[in-house]
Amino acid sequence: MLKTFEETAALIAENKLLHISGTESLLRKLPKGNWIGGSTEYFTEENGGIISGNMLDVRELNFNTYKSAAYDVRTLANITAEAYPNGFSIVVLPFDSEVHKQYAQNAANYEDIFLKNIVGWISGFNLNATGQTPVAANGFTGEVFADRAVVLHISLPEDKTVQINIVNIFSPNTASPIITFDEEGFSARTCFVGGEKVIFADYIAEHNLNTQLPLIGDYSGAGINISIKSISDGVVHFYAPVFKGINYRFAENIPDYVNAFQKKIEELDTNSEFACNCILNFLYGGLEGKKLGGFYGPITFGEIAWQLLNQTLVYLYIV
Amino acid sequence: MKLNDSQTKKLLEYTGQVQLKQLALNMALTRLKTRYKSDSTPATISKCTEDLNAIFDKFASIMESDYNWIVKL
Repeated sequence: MLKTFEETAALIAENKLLHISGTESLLRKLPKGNWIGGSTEYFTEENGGIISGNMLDVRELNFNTYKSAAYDVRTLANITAEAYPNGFSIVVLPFDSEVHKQYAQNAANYEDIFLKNIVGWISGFNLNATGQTPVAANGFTGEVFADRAVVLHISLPEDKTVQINIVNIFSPNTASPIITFDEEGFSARTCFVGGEKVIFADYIAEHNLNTQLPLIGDYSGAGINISIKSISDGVVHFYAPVFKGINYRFAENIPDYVNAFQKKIEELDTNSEFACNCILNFLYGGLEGKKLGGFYGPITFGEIAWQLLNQTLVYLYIV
Repeated sequence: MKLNDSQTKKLLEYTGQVQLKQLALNMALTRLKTRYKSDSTPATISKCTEDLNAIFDKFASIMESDYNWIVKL
């Protein structure tokens, strides 16, 4: 729920456990307390998508046992080991930082990652402003980082189970050939299309492919999106890494993002403890002022459901 | 809910439409398939069985339908 700085500071003073998103300058001014957060000026709220540098999205978390931690590139893999045996962890990673890149490339191989419940997001900035730095904030210590992950680990009673899910409005275009990569990373010069090695940028240009549509990786039946960031000097750059051994296809076009989200969301229980949605859905789908219903929270520069995802809504609830 | 190595092998080699409901299992299975592709020995299958059973043990209350789908392969 969007709050003013004063309202947020009052909740912190009441010792509430909070997840806060908002502009970097406000996060830096907030008092110490039981909170973590990250930077963004984009939100989805009850009244629709909104851009604000004055308000903060504040999610109150009603849990009794918790701890915060900051991780650098050397300690990042400890997130799973330090997560509570039964609970969940909210991870905030500053966009384009080394921890962002390291997590994106290696998280799936962290020890026991799929035995823990890891959600989170990539913090960002206002795309039309200058001088902002994506940050992750640890309110427990008063530290704000551009180069570290901040994580809130929450413990749950034994009789509670966490459910993490995603809303992916995209589906693979069955007319798209299978695309694979022999090198992993945030960029690719070449790929294999139907088994034939091609220059990926040329393939996109020759087939007039819409780069606002993600590549969808087939993760044993689950579609995991990789968004295209840019194409320069014959290299395609992504917002999340592509991996060897994964079959990708371009997504089907989405004529109406709002309708696509609403259709998916109306089938779901939206009583979540955490939710975030992607800045690219916000921008490409024109979601400012549009009500999606149900899942409220930050609009982010990448979403985490164990692994880094793109163009996806992530949510977590307790059963 | 316990898989044996034979059921795990069938799952790792399955090329049809996977119908799992839990995203963690989709992602974990993808990682295990990669591991199995590079080393298809019985020891790898046993390790994959261990990993999958750990997930079923941990999240028993939400994994039943996925488990039932796997054992019917």
